[in-house]
Amino acid sequence: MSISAPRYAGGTFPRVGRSGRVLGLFLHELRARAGWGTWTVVGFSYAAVVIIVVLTAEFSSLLGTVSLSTLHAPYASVIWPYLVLIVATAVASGAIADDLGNRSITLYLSRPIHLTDYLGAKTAAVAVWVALPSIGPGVVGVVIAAGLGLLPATVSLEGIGAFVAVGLLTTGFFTTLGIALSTLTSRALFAGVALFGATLSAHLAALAVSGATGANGVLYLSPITDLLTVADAAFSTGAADPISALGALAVLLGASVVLGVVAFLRLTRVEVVGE
Amino acid sequence: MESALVEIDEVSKSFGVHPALTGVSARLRPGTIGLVGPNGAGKTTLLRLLLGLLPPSAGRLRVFGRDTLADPLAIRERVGYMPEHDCLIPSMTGIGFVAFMGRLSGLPREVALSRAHDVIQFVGLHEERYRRIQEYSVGMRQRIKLAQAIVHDPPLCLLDEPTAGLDPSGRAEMLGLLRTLSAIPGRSFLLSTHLLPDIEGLCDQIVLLNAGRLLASGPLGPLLAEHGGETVVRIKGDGAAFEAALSARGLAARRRRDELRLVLPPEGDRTIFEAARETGTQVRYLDRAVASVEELFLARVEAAAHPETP
Repeated sequence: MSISAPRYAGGTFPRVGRSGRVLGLFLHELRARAGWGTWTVVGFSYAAVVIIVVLTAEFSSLLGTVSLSTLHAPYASVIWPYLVLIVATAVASGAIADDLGNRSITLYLSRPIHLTDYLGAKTAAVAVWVALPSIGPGVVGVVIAAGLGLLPATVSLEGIGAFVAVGLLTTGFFTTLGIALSTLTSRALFAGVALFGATLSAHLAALAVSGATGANGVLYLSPITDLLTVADAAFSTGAADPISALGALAVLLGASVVLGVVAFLRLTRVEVVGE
Repeated sequence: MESALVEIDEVSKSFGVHPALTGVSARLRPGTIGLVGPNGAGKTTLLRLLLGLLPPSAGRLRVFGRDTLADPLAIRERVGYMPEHDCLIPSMTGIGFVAFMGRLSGLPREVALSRAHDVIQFVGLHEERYRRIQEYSVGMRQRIKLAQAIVHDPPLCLLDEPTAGLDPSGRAEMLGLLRTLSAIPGRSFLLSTHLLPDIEGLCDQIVLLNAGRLLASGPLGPLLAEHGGETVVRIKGDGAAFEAALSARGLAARRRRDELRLVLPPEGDRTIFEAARETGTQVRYLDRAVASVEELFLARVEAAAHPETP
């Protein structure tokens, strides 16, 4: 042990402002959420989506049928949304739950940052991770296909816009859902199981009930179906979806807002419960 | 008059129907302040109110002259907090954790890292700074908690039970660190503990809480002197008869363990020996009582419980 106190230079340290402190928390969280499993799924998403986009563009180019709907191919199945869900589960489940579990949230909030700063930095870091597989692969695929001369500039720009729009919606929904669930428990495992399990269950249950009863309205309860329906509309496929794209968009946006409010309200309670 | 570091004005705080603090008022000067009380006295609640982490149910608090509700960030920029419970991030290294906390307190990245090395050296964890916190012992965790509280060089540190869970040598080392820190000019510490001996020799002011109510606050020396003034008498013989003889001479003695305590009038020693001679008892010990914080606390608790007793 040292026999003297560190030589303080009290009051002479340069200080960063509130935005600098929030940036520090954001960057820390961004690094903390990086795991080899997450990187693997993200990498797989890029490989799969880019290959699908380029090959589809190649075939359409040969057939002379290139249009915006050509780029819809990655959204033709549920695989891509579920890859994004896996990444969201991995990064979002522990974002708040870990801090509640080890009670480090007390230390965060005893620093000069607001609760909204804390929640915002955590949400932003998770959103970046979720955006990596939900927005990036489609955009990269289009850029590569355009670079290979398989897509005209107009279709490329429209495709990038559609991938970004649907990707942002996916990112927003899965991020807020993951963060909200992460505030409800001090075990990241529970939040992760709830996030993946609830989404999968809602999807399968909605499909089963809709198939058995013919009541298509119940499909709005499945976020995956909502996302695919919005993607159909964004890429102008003209598919006859059982639910309205506008309704699905409203459900996802509304749910995201509600989940964000739930997360905030839950955290305001955590301080008191910590007593 | 020296400006107040902390002003607590008729503060109450309830959690649902459970009152944690009731009508607490105190004015604390810069220095080392002991916040003393048994478990559940409201010490942690008061610390969290001072940090602006909780709003008071009634009353107001000021730290550095700033209202804790109106300006919590400005207060937290200048305050370090060491919580009682384990609150560390187990997957981080000691140095990484302290530097990160420095960053959250507003230090630029390079400065935070440099300061983290300084304070980790100070708390004696230099050799273990690159180990993950999950590998730390209880004593090391307490030290890293202290390091994160002082990394940004705050003028005021709120320390919640800093010796909790430490063995005697660890406790002595922690108190030694606090003693060293408190000797630095311009640094104040509010030290919450239910271990009363911890604050003797360390604190120059005290706040006594019990069941959410303030028992006493102010400079420690005058409070102890005010509580002192008693004489301790130990006798061999019939204690009851001796007490009765004293009572007959107008001296009310109270029995505490194997001794009697009483407030003597001038030249009262003679009265004691007269009573001893009359009852055939031997006076084995006679001296002025040295008041301790524990005695002060117990006396105040008793006085609060029986306000009519002189």
